[in-house]
Amino acid sequence: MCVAASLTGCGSSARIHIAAPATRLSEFKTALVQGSSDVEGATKEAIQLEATVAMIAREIVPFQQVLTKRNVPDARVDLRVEARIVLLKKVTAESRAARGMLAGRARVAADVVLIEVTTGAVVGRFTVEGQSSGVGTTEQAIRRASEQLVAFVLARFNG
Amino acid sequence: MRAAAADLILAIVLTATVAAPAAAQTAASSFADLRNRLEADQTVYVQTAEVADEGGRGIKGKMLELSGSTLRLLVDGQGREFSERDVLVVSARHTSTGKGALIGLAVGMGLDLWLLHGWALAQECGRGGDAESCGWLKLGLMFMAGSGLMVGADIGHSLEHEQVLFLAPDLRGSRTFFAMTPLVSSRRRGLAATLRF
Repeated sequence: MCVAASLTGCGSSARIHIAAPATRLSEFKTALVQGSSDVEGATKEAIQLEATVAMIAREIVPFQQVLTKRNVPDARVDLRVEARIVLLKKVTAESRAARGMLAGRARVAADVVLIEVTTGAVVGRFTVEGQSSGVGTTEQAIRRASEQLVAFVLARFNG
Repeated sequence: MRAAAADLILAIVLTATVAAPAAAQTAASSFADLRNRLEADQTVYVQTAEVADEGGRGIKGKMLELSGSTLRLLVDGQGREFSERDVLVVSARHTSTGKGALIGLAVGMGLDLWLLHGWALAQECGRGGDAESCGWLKLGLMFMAGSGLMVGADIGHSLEHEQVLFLAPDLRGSRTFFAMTPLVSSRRRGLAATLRF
C-alpha cells in the first residue's frame, strides 16, 4: 500500500485555481496565445508554454485559428490568452540524470488572463500549475500546465 | 622533481575537469550559421518551442539536410523537418570517457606516489635500489594507474555534456556562460574564470 501510495505521489499532475470564471468562449473565432514570465531566466519556458498551449488548443478547441505572439506578433484576433509564469522550479534532463529523484519535481505556475480584444474586457482569469513526476523534467511540468489551461478554455467554449 | 610531478598531475586534472567549457563555441543564431557546424549523419537533439519531448532532452535524430530555414533529421527511421522559426535549441551530447580515464589515471598515479610511498620507492630504484623494491614500484603503479583509469573512464562515461550548436535569437540573452581555465606554472597555481552574459 505504501508502495502504491508513493507511486501515485510520483506521477505528474496539474491543478487550476479559478479567480474569475470565464464567460462562454464560443463567440470567439480566433485566439492569440501570449506567454511571458515574471521569473528571471525563464524566457525559454515562457516560449514553450505559449507554443504548447497553442498546439494543444489547435487540436482540441474548435477555434478557427490559434496563433502565437512569437510567430505572429501583430495578429488580429478575437481573444487573447495571456499566460504569465509566476513560479518555476526547473529540473533539467542533466540534473535528473545526475541526481535522479533527488533532483525533485519540476513545477510551473502561470497566471492566465483571457481578454476580449475588441473591448479589452477580461473574460476569464485563473492560475494553472503543472508538476512533473519524480522522473520528469521542466518540459513535463509545462506540458501539464498547458493541458490544464486548454482544458479550462475548452470547457468554457462548450459550456 | 617531486614538485614538478605534482604540477604535472595537477595540470592534467584541472585541464581535464575545467578547461573544456572554455573551448565551447558560441552557438549559431541562424540555420545559415549552423550549416558550418553540422556534419552529415551527426546525431543532434532538437528542442522545439512546442514541448514534444517531456524528457527534456529534445528530439534525437541524425542530420540529413540543412537547407535555408529547414533542418531535416532522421528520427526513429523517418525523415522529419524542423522550421528554424520553431526550433529553440539544437545540441550535441558527448560523454567524457577519455577525460574521465585521464583524470582516473592521474589520481591513481598520484595516490600510489604519495599515499602508498611509490615516490620513495622510485627514488630508491633510481639510486640503484634492490630489484624487489623496483618490482613493487612497477606493480603498484600499474595497479593503481590501471584501477584509476577504469574507474575514471566509467564515471566519465556516465557524465553527459550538452554542446549547444544553435540557440534561437530570442534565447540568446537567457543563457549565461561560465568557464574556468587552469593556470599552473612553477610559480603559481590557480584558475582563470570567464563569465559571459
